[in-house]
Amino acid sequence: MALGFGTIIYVSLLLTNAIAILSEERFLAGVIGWSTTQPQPATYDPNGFGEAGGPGVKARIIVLISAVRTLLRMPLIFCNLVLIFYELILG
Amino acid sequence: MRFQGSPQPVPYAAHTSNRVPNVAGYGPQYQTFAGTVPMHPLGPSVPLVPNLTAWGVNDATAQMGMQFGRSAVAAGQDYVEKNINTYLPVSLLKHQFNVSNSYVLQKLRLVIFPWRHRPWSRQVRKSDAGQNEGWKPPREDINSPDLYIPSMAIVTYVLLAALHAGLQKRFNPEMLGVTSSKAFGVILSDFLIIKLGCYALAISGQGQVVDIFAYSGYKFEGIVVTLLARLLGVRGFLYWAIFLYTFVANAFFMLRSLRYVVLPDPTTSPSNVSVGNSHIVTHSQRGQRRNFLLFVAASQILWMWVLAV
Repeated sequence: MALGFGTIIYVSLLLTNAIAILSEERFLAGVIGWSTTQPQPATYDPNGFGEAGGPGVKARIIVLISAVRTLLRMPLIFCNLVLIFYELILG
Repeated sequence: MRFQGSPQPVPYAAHTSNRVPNVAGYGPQYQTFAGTVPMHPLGPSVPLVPNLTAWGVNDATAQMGMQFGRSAVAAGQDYVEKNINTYLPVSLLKHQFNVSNSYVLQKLRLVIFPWRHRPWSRQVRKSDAGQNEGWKPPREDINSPDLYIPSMAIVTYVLLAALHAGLQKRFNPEMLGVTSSKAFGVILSDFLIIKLGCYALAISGQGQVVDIFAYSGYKFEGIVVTLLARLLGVRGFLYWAIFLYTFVANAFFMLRSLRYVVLPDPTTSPSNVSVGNSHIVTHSQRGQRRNFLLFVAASQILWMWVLAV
């Protein structure tokens, strides 16, 4: 399956699925140090005079993962259904 | 005379009902576009109505029909404009395609040979009051990215790949779609990786989506050069040397161009493009961003290899 537009769609859908089904207590808390109740020390200061450099790379990726999990669950179900029907009916 | 099927072309001298000469040669055989009413000697207040008596439509009905058609087309144009403006950033695209011949030639030379170019920063367009209001268009600023060269390069790449396959007698029309899909796949992957990296490193992304597409399209020029070399019969070591040279030139071009995007300089950016989430970029952050830039420039060889081989 060579690199192409459809391949990118498939790969991104599978990767997003993978992010969505990670188990929180087994994987994210232990390995990555995920914490949904972590206090943010003054990083929302609009002037930017808070902690220099903002939240940092790891924190931003954790925010991204949690956002993907909460926001994209429903659309992911829908996209998966569409893809399954496409594969079943149109080969 | 009334029902002749499709109206026969009537010779011009037979138009005795119209003493005013029709400017565009209107007659029953011509369709009119309601949206474009050409000027004629009586002035714009008198709408130009085609002579439709051959179709059994007298003047008043024809005028009503013209009015209706004109308003319908105007409504359609409004609808299209409203919807296009929500889906496509039209003004941004217009800025990207605002190129001139000299710009195109200089930019092409720059992508292949970027070593001696001196100032790489984009210039800001200043309004009359001295306020910054956005970047200068590509016509005036050699360092501004454009979308004209990448789109032309992609189309040229697809055509050259098809030509190459045809010369080897393995062309079939399906490969045109496969090749263009591969090109779009590369651009999309490149864009996703850069966007992910920009998000992770908190680099501001205002108005930069189109710029990322432009920068990731410049590598197609190097690939077109490589493909041309292959078409001319260059094989083996020299071919790979050309490929590596175009990759290094493209990587250097990207490094220099993206330096001001990834490590922004607040004094020279226009005010409507925000400069990072905070105006303080720590030393470790600069190091991270520089490494990210190097990674992006080096990953171009992966894409170029996928496309050229």
